[in-house]
Amino acid sequence: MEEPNRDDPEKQTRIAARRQEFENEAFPLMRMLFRTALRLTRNQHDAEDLVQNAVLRAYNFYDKYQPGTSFKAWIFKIMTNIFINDYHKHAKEPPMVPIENQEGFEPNPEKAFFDSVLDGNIRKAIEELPDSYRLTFLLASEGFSYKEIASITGANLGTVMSRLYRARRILQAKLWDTYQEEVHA
Amino acid sequence: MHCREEIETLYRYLDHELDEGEQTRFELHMRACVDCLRRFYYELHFQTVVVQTLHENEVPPTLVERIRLALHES
Repeated sequence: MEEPNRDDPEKQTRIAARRQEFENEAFPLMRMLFRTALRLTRNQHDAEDLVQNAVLRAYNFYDKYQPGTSFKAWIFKIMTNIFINDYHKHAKEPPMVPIENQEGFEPNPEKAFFDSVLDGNIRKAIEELPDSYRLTFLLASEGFSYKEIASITGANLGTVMSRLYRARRILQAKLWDTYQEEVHA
Repeated sequence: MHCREEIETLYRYLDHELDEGEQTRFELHMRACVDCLRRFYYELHFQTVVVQTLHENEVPPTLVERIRLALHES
């Protein structure tokens, strides 16, 4: 096996070029990774850790990335796996909202109430979603297709669609309740 | 809401997951169905507000710099 030689200028140039290639792919996605991590971990410190771990792991496994496939989906999958294995286990789950109660909610399209709902309430409602729903919903909000979300989360297409549907129902029901409380406060 | 069976189609329409034929059929359906059209605007509005809120966060420049340094050290 070839010993790494720090003094080999050709090798150093190759490494630098490869790193530059990686940075060109990864750095434009940093904001997207960070805002997803922030809603997944629910706090700035863990979000920064999660993104840093994901990007460094992606760099270490960059030779496993298949050119021509979506780099964005690949790096999000790495971040998702770290979140599920390392953070999710230790995270304190907010109380689970019984889904049956929210399923009966009927949207009222006559009232454009979302305009009155504060951003903070939207973020809070998203953070209170169960992990698998929150992850699916955040990935959809970043423009991933159902197929990509299935590949990133390891769920099948039907599960992705059902999680997304339920996440939307729960959020809308919660935001509607908040709106009602504020109107009648 | 009369079109409960259409809600899944509506979401797939919003998520750009319908094929061309399904998309055309659904657009024709919405022309005839006020409930579905209203629901479409409601869901579109919801998605827009949520995405705008989620996309407000900037990545801390210190984090980007830390990652850049770590890459150069590895």
